[in-house]
Amino acid sequence: MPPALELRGITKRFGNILALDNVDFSVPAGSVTALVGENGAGKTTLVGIAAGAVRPDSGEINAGGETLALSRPLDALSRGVGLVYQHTRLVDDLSCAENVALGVPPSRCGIISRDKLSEKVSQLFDRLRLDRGPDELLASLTLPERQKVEIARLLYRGVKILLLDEPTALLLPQETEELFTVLREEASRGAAIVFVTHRLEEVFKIAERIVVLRAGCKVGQRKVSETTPDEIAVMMVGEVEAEPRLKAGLFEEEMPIPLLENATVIRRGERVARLKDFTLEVFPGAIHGVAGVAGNGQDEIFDLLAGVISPSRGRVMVKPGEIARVPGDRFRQGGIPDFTLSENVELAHGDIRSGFILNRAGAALVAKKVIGDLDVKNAGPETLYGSLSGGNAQKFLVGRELAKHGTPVTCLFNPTRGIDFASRAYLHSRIRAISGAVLLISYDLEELLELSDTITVLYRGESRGTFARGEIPRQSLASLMTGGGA
Amino acid sequence: MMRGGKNREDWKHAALEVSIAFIIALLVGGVFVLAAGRSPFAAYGAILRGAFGSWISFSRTILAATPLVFTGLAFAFAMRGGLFNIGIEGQVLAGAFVAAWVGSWPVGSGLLLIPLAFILAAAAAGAVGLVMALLRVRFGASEVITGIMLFHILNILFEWLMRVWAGTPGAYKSPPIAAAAHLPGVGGIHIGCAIALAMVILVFLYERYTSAAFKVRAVGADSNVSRYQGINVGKVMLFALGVSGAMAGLAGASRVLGESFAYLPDISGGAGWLGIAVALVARNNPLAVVPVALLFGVLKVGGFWLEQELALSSDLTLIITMTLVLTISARRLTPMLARILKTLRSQERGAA
Repeated sequence: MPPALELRGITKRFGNILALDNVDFSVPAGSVTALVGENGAGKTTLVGIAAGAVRPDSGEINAGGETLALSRPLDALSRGVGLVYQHTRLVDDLSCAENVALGVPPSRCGIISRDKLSEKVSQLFDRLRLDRGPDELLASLTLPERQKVEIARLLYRGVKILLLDEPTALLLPQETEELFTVLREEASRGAAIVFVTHRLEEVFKIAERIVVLRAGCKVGQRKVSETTPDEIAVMMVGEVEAEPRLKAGLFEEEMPIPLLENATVIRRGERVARLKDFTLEVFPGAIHGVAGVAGNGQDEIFDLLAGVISPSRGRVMVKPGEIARVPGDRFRQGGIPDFTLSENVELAHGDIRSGFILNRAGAALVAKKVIGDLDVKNAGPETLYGSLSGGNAQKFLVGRELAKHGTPVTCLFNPTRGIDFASRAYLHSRIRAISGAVLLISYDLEELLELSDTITVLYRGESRGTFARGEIPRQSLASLMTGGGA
Repeated sequence: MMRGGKNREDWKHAALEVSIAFIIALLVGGVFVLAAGRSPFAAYGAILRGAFGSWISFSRTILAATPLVFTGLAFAFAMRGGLFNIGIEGQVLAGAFVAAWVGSWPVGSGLLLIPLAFILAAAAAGAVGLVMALLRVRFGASEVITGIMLFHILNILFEWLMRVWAGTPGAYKSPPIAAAAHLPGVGGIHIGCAIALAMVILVFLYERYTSAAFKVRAVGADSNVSRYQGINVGKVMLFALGVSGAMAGLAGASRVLGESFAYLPDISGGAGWLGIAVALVARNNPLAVVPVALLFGVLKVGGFWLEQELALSSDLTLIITMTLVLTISARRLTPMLARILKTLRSQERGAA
């Protein structure tokens, strides 16, 4: 069968950085192809080019037997190529159906036919196993549901080649399974699916073919039936580092550091509390995890500790200056994309900008140290933060907080979300080595189980209990997180 | 952004862009002159003679540029923090009124009275800026709306106060300030001009070295990230708009103490609104504010000569000024032309 989508000789530079170097990439119809690689390997750039969102410097794109104009999203869409972004790009204030038909509503003489649209959208939602009505407001949907709306939007436009950029980064295991079921069905209907991910176990569950990128080059491609996770891992990073030793358990004799005391958060204009009577304490030298499905009060815990919001009731027991923080959103909370790394150090380190004169030289030194210390690739103190790949940005943020002095508590919110496993393993080893108390809020249960000495389960803004390592099986934790019993 | 080895490159690039915009503005103005049946060269010659032809015209140009330096700096200062201080005109009036009032105090020594008048004028105008910031921070009211509204309120309020103070309902200006409050000067150029230049240097040093400037810039670049990184965004906004207002107030004080010696309702001469244009063309760079304000002053003063020599309307200079502002605002237009110019030049070099 001829490939549904074929990219030939794609080269792309961003400034001095060679993001893609003469990459060939083809996708057959009726199958799932996984695109894997470290952060900064060029995966996102490659699918962006295929979808017409990024203009390559050279190369050729063929879809459905025709050559596509470069860098024309509409052209790509009209040839049946569509991309589901890592963060969905939908409009909260519109209904599901309106989001699906965004830009191309069924209309006659400029009048939108709502019945026809609703019917079509309902059919698509059934096919994608999305249990929502076409008239429901998008704002009420959960993340996995939004993803399906995004997929429906592309199918509505007749997309046959579906590109998904890290679709599972923020999903729970069960939600991931559901997404895979839907994707397999679409593949069996003849769609060509490209799946970008870092999680190798997923690749082997869903994909038939694996394409590996490393530092902008295609390292190779394998059929899943003819390879092993170990081989793919070696292709991705060269060789896998040995896991560092686990930190010792909780020190019973240490005094706990209280963070929150019966804190309740009710957001303006809302009646239901996002966080209810929540008490939180951490121990020096130990990692305390907060487990939960996204949107169950994690943002509120972080915002309280960051001093961005104040509790409606209860107390925050630490000042923002006493707690090093890595926020959940790298580019909208962690750092200013238009600022250099050095300036982003100035931003976060209160002591550097507390005097009358800004300590620029000090900031540049810290930036340099962080870059070297955490192996932030292709970067210097004058590099713009926004030009870093996700994994490198995350390394920078973690390093920047580790370089702070006089902060007995370090709070990390999804510190390894959407980054490659080599960086992830590396960051995990660094987190384990933090000598003070660590609060780890994460949507990733594997990460929590790997790192935490104690775990509090969060559900609908309330604690469902705190457990020590090994005290409770994984299944029970997952059940508590989703509202079930232990 | 504004440091390191790229600094000079950026400067050169910005200067090239502004030059292109200026040439476009001159061409557009030329078309209007031609339409009026005159030679553009004669017209531009008249403007230059009007602005620099004699010491008197030169000093007038400098005096016209001085308030624009203050207001241009003021607008740029707030803009760095992402705040659009459209209330500058009102703040100039507040500064002017308070300067006229303090200037009428019976304090014998100018050494005491003049600094006092400047400081209180700046404080009053800064308070207007603080009100705008407070409305924004506390109630989420856009400073663009409150700035315009406050201008209208202040404009009428001061006119009324001026009449009450003068004691006659038909008064068109306030009672004169004391002679001790007159700004000293040389050859028709008073010390307000030197104060404006000192402010330029102060703001330049402030932006380059201080933590406060960094925080303002961070809030302007991304207030959400700044909040998450522990910057008190509300406080920074109060600071930026307060200082911006204070600098606008200096423009009013300098006009009253140096030129009109009384409060007049049209004391500002539109310096508040033009300050926005100055900052825009100067790309919020404090050093660039000086030549841009001077250029605007040349056009303003030279326009009179246009009427005298060629019987052309002085509005021509307004056309040039506004075309310049429009061309600069079209942010993608001038970089595009600059790029074309660069490729042409490199091709020439390649051919040679």
